[in-house]
Amino acid sequence: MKFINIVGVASAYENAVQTCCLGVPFHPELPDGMTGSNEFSVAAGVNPYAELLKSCIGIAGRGGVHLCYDGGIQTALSDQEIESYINDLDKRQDVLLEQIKETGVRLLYDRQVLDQINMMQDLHVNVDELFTCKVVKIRFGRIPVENLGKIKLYEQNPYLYFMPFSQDEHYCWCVYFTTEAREEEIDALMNSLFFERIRIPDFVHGTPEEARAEMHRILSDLEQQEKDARANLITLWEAEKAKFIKIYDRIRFLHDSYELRRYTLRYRQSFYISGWVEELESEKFANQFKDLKGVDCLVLEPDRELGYEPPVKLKNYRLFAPFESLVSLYGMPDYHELDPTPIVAMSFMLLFGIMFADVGQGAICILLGILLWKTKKMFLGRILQRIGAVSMVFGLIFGSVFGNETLLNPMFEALGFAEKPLEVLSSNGTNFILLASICLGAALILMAMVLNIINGFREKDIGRILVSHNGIIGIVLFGGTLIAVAATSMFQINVFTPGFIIGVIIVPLLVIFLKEPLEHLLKKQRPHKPDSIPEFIMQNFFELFEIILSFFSNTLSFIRVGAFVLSHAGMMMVVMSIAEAVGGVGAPFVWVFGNLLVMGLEGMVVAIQVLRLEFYELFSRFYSGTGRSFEPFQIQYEIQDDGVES
Amino acid sequence: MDAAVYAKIKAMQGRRLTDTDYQELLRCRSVGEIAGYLKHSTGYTDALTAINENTIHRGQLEQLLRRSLMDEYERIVHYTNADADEYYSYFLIKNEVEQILSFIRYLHSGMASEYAVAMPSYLVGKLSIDLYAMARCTSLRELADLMKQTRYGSVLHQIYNSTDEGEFTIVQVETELITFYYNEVLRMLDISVHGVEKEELRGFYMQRAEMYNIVTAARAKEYFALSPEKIKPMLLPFRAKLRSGFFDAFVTKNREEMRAMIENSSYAWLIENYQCDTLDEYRTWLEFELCRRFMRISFEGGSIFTAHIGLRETELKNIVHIIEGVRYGMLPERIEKLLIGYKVS
Repeated sequence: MKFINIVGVASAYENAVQTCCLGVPFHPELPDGMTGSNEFSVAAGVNPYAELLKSCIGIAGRGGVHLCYDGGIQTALSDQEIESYINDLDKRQDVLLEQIKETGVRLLYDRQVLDQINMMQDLHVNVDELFTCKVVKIRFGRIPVENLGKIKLYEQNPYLYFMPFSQDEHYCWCVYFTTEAREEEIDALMNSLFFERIRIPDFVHGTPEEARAEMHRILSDLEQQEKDARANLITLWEAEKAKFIKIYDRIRFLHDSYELRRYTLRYRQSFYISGWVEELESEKFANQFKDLKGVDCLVLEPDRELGYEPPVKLKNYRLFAPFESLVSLYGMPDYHELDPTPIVAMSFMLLFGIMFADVGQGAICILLGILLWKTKKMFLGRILQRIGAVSMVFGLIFGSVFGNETLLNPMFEALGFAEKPLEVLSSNGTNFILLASICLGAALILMAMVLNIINGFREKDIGRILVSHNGIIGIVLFGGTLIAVAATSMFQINVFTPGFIIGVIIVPLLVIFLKEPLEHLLKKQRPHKPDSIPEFIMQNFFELFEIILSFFSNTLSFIRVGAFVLSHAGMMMVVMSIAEAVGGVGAPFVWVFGNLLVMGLEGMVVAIQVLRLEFYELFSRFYSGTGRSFEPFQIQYEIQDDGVES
Repeated sequence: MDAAVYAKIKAMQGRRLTDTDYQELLRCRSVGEIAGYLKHSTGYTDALTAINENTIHRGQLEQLLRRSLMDEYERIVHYTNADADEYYSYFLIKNEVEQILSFIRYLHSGMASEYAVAMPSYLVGKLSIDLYAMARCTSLRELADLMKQTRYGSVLHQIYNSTDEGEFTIVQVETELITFYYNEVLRMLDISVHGVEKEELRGFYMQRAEMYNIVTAARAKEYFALSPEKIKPMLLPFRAKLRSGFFDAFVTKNREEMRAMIENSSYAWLIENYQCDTLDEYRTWLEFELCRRFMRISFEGGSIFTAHIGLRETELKNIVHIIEGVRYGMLPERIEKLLIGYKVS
């Protein structure tokens, strides 16, 4: 990264801000620490483009237009012309939307009328005659089904005649008759029973059949009107979309670049903007300001004296890139730290592949990963492809295809093996797998400690390199102990001589115990003087105890790798047994369902366990994750369908 | 059994209204808008699926919402054993007592025939009493005879026998029936709930009964200026946290003195934490807080069930406040003050 300082006169401010947003990614820094002074102030103000942008987004939303960036922000129109155009387009669209809405409401109502008329088919009577009655009042409508029982309580009421037509689960379509004199009373009664009246329009005449035909015709006309209004809207946008998008891009650029003000310091007639650009782009960025009068762009090295920690942008090979998301879950690396992504990628693939070893299930993971990436652009899809491939490799080694442990036997025979080289569930195989898991874990922990030493060199932290329990002295202690245990138990070589014990165990423990004072000595700082010696001893003793325990527990933690190999094989054995027991037509279904279940459950659990091993057993030894990511200031051209700006 | 009830209820809790939902409802300007929001954006979608939000009647909306609670109750008790878990039927008894009281109020006003219109149709067939038959009764005697074969027969006959030729007061009937309800609940707790859960639930109901007494006594004093001798028979014979003799003194005090007594009692925390205009609001807050506490700390099916029903009833009361407030043009700020549990973490 390079640190950028842009300095200029107030009159050149707008141009400078817009130039910052032109293309080269620029991560601005908040003017922290200087705003306390009376001389400096943060440039602020109400964004003059906010209302116009809101109008654009609103117009596009109502018109169903997807807002995006079309590659240019230049338009020949002035600001007033832009505003006038937007207002005019808004009005034209509103007229069409209003037409669509009105026809929609009329359609809804008239469809209800048609429903009502359909219910009247058994009434062979002229609708005109019905509604011209002077003494008898007629009401068509619907009532909730559960209130039909209440109507029965009014059976004896001589002023109410109730006649249902038909009903569905919720409502009963009906008609009731009452007299003119009792109209109000009966209407109030029916209203309290939640009767919803559906008025038959004046234009409906004749028998229900004739009325239905008329309603169909009216509905058909309304539907055509609605269709025409929608077509007009589409035509409008076909004509205006290109111009509108150009104008939107311009307004969006002006609006968002205005927001850069909150990263700007004002000092009298000058302004200051600071931030970061990638090293390779720094020259290109600085060149953007060459022709700007009254503005200077300085490119500086990232230096701790600047007071800012440089942000970090992860860049990895395609094979490892998807695992950047996992690393950023924990935290971005410090600027001077190693990017652990390749390590995470390789160890994750290895561990997952071992724990989920199956050729067929690995292939399914790859297919699922391809599907997720192609359809949803999920980073998980790319990770699945990679770990699926490694699962297939280990599936070949363990000889497992969708839980079938014998399908690959011909392959082993062809390769010259008398039998499958590693039978997972045999007692020898089980022991080997568990032991190998511990050895793998120990190797990974040692690797993590080496990485810690490398980070120590990068950070120029001598204490971290030499006297930390994850440094050289830790490697001597841990590695030496491992070698001794292996030599003693496997090769019956007793290396626990007094010299070994003192040099490889006692001295490193002492060094770790006295880490703090030794660190001060190495860094040539004032000698460390604890407030209380007994307290110092007690505290450091328990810390040392915890460190020794953590070596032990972290190593043994990797036994879960072997455990999941065994559990995977065991679960698939159960599936195969049940399929065999079911037999016949049912066996394939059991086999498919069993595989899916094991893949789903085991896959999730294994992934979580591997992540835990990465984050806890490994990262805790060499990785701080206290960095911050490079987040360039961006113009948010794209609006997602749910209205969220991306 | 309890584990299934617990899991079911915890899942249902996720569908309760949030503060954001209440804010959106408070912004609605008509009953139709409220219906539309509840239908499309909350857990009431299923209950309101068939309505036309532009034409729905306010009363119908409220009834559909209450019906959703009854449906939820039935879904939960599906996981219980009716014989061993008799306690869960307290909700039905509560509804039955409320309907009997409602009918008696209409009867007392000389408008017995109006009950049929007001009666919640969704309860028909779900309770142990015949609501339609009750709607046809024209006197207390008829009602008592109708209920002879139900659990309410004896208490209604007792009420009738204590009257002067069937002339009764609403207060007398309310006190008797509500006392009967609490006695039934305590009896069911004794049979089907045990241990700490039983004690907690007893405490829950007895506190509610105590608060009922406080509100009743205060109302009787303030609005009707009744003497202590007339107030005492209106009180329920239950005690929870208040010292014995509290109500003997309480009924002799005036409004300010009554408030001072409450501020020095075990219910002082209500006055300290909530600013309510009426004691009835404090009663609702008490019920809400008791339910909330159960929901947070209990793992027993009975307690969780009671809490869930209580919280849903509070939610329904809040929605009704909003519907009525919007219907009568109240300002949102005013309606907000009536909501129980809103903006409480």
